[in-house]
Amino acid sequence: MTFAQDHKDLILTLRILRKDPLAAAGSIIAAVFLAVALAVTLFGNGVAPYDPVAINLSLASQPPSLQHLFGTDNLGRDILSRAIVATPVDAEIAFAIVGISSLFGLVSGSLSAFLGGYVDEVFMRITDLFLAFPSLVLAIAVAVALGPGVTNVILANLIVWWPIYARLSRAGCLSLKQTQYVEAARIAGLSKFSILLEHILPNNISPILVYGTLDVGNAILYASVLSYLGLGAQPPQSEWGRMVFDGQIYLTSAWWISIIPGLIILGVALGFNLLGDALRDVFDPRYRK
Amino acid sequence: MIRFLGLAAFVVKRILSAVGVLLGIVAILFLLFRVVIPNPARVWAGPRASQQTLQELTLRFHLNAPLYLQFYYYLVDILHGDWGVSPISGQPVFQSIVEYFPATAELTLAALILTIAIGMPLGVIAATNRNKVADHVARVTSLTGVASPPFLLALILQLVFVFYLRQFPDSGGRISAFIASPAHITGFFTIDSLITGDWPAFVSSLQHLVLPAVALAFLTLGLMSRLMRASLLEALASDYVRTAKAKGLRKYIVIYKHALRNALAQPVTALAVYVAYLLGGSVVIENIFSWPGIGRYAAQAALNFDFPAIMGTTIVFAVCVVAMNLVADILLCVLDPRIQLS
Amino acid sequence: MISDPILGIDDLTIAFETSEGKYSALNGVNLRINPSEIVGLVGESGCGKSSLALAVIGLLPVPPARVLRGNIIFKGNNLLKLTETGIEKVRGTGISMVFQEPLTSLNPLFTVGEQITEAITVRLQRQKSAHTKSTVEAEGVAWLKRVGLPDARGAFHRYPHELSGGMRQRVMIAMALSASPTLMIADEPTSALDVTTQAQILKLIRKLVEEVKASVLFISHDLAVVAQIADRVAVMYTGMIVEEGPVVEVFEKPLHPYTQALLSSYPGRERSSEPLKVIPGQVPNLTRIPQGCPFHPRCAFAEDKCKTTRPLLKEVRGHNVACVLY
Repeated sequence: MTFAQDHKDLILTLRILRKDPLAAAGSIIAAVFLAVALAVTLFGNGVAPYDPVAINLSLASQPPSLQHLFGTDNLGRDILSRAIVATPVDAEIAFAIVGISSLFGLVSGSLSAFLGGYVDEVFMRITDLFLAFPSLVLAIAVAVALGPGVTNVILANLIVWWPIYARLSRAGCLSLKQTQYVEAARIAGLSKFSILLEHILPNNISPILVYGTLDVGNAILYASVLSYLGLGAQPPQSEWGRMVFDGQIYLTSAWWISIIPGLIILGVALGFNLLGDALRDVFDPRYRK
Repeated sequence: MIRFLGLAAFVVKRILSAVGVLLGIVAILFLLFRVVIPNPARVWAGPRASQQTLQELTLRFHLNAPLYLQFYYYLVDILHGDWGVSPISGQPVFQSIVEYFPATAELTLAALILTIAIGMPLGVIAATNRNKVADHVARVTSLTGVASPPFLLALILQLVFVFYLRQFPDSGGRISAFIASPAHITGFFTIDSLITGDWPAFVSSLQHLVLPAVALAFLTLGLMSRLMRASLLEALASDYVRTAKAKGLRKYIVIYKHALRNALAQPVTALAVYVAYLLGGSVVIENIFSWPGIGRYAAQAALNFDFPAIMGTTIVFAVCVVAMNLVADILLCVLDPRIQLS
Repeated sequence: MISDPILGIDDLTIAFETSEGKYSALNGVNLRINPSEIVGLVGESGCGKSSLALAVIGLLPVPPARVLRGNIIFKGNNLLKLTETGIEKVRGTGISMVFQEPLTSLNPLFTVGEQITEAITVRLQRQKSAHTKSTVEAEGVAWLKRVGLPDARGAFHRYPHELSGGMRQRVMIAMALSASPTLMIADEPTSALDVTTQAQILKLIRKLVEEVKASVLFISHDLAVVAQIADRVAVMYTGMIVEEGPVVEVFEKPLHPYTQALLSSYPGRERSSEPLKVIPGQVPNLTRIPQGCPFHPRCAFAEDKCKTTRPLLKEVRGHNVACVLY
């Protein structure tokens, strides 16, 4: 009985995942994505069926077949292998973006809401300003200024990502501030700081978790656009977005070179979206009774 | 009448506030690109600049002056339309942007129209046919739209319609190379050719507009459909809808007069955000369809590490988003009498 | 001549399917409403009063709710057997409703005038009377005057949020009565108002209803309010009527233990030094209604019989009571 109470959320999540096929599909995709990323990080390129870097012009532009499930590109490289090896790059970028910006947003937003007054006003204005930019374009601009490379992509996106989490966390914090148990804690004499740390922050985490899961999908999309524009990992490291760009010229003769990496991006983003949707239903107050 | 005056005052106040936001945006750009990143001169000059160019730029941007002075010169430059020169094209950035603006405006407007004309009805159908086939179809469409990278649908559309089905012209650009572009009135080929009665130009420019607009609108269409559905469901569950039913009003009046009107508030507000997404997407879409707009300019800039160009794009897009937010604010005010205009 | 009741509810039993099991909102409700009569329906929160109201007007969300048994006969027709279009035609001119929260119950984007003319137009269309925009508008303004709005013409062009709570509730009443209903259901119409406004609204309802010759089902948890306005009263507990009769009779000589307990716990009846009486125990969760008489766990007079037999309404000394004592 106690295990069930403590892990109400987990059990509810598992129940939803079991009942809703889309949610189940989403979690499977996310799991596979993470597994592949991990595998490549730990065991290197050998995880892929073929050498992703080896150029073999005699096998150039082969359509998908039993030997090459996703076909080969114009240089004869196996697309499936290249896609597999590219997985940890996007995983790293996406999780770094979401992780760091959500953390920063959580802390800054909660703090701002908690301190209130002038500080809060200024903070709100600043987040508003950042949100007034079309985020993709700003991210591209910063990435161009910083130069190519994975770290720069992450940094560029952090600048664009943090205000949403800050806003989210601030809103959650504000509504929690009004609740009675925070009042009670304050009356009991707890210091402002410990109230923030022990009562407000922990309860703020769930909406951020839900949003963050959905957001991993978004982050992958942004990362793919930046890499499509040449701003991400550089050759010979493959990256899905870059693969699409490189394959564009062969669209009419060998569509799989560009379309298949694009479909992979769609698939992974979709997976995280479905998972995030399911999580949102878990935490939706109407389901919690 | 009083409300009209109040509205006018409200508009003025909002415009002033928008100007403030623009100032703030410029400040942030200044901080990001002159202060935070290392070597601003190199970034502006491009990867292949000579030492001399770097020194020239350092002088020109007053990079050795105190910060507030730098900001002053920065502001003056921007307001004068001196947005730098692209090291790739050699053209002043501002001029290029002005030149490419109408094309992007036309494409973005077309995508916005598609978003509203398809996204909203889709959402309404999904809400009124909850959990039936139509709802599931709408859900799948919006899920795919939201998770798609912008280049995917663009490439698929090109492949299917241009190459395989030959329904659409495969020359890129806004109009067939064999047809003269219509007289420049608004800069929108479709509108201009309609105004001047230039039928072949109209048909051709419309043909060229369709695919990129659909590709661009895919994301926002999905978002709009979901939002409209959620918003309408919320309205349908409200107390005033219950009252409307209790009065004996027919079902379609309850839905389309009472519920829908209230459900529009969220989608209208969201339009401003969607414009931001459309502008972002245009960078990829315009590039794939060779649409000569700011988006393609930006994409080329990114591919070539042309910083002044991408900076100029950021500024102009940010201005557009702020303007759209203003429009959405005003529109919302007109729609909802509860909003205080004092 | 004793005429037929306009509304007859027989053994109405409705349950909701929830994730926690079957929620029995109504359990065999029996009620009659006669022409030109104000019937009060009292009970604690959660006893099913609102569910009954919504069931009569056909606004219970039917997928989670299910009608298990019973009839609702209105002017000879069984409302439960009507299609959605059928019941639409009954609403407004047959049965109309006033809700508890006038602010959220009025559409914030339309003026008061637009909303009341809707109700009037529905009536005129059904009567197949010719009407123009100005005649409908004139009637709308007249109704607003009739419900006591000080500046009726001005109010006509205002939005709901621009009026006070009391004025909004008057608008709701005007909307409900302008359709010339045979039965008006008022679900806690005064609960959101202050006491002075409450008294005014009650007086207004009494007066208008007499003029229009409508019947009213007046739902409230406040016994004092019901005492002021109703001709007859029905006491509800866990989805069934336990006592019912002329209001003075029931309130001065309550027969059912629940009614007695309800009245005695009402402030005002004890001397100031005595503590307020409470009914021991709690209202049962409607997913787990006790067997037999649902009140027996809390009843001072409970016998063994009460645990197994569910008493039915029986006429005793002028009221109907559902208790084994009689």
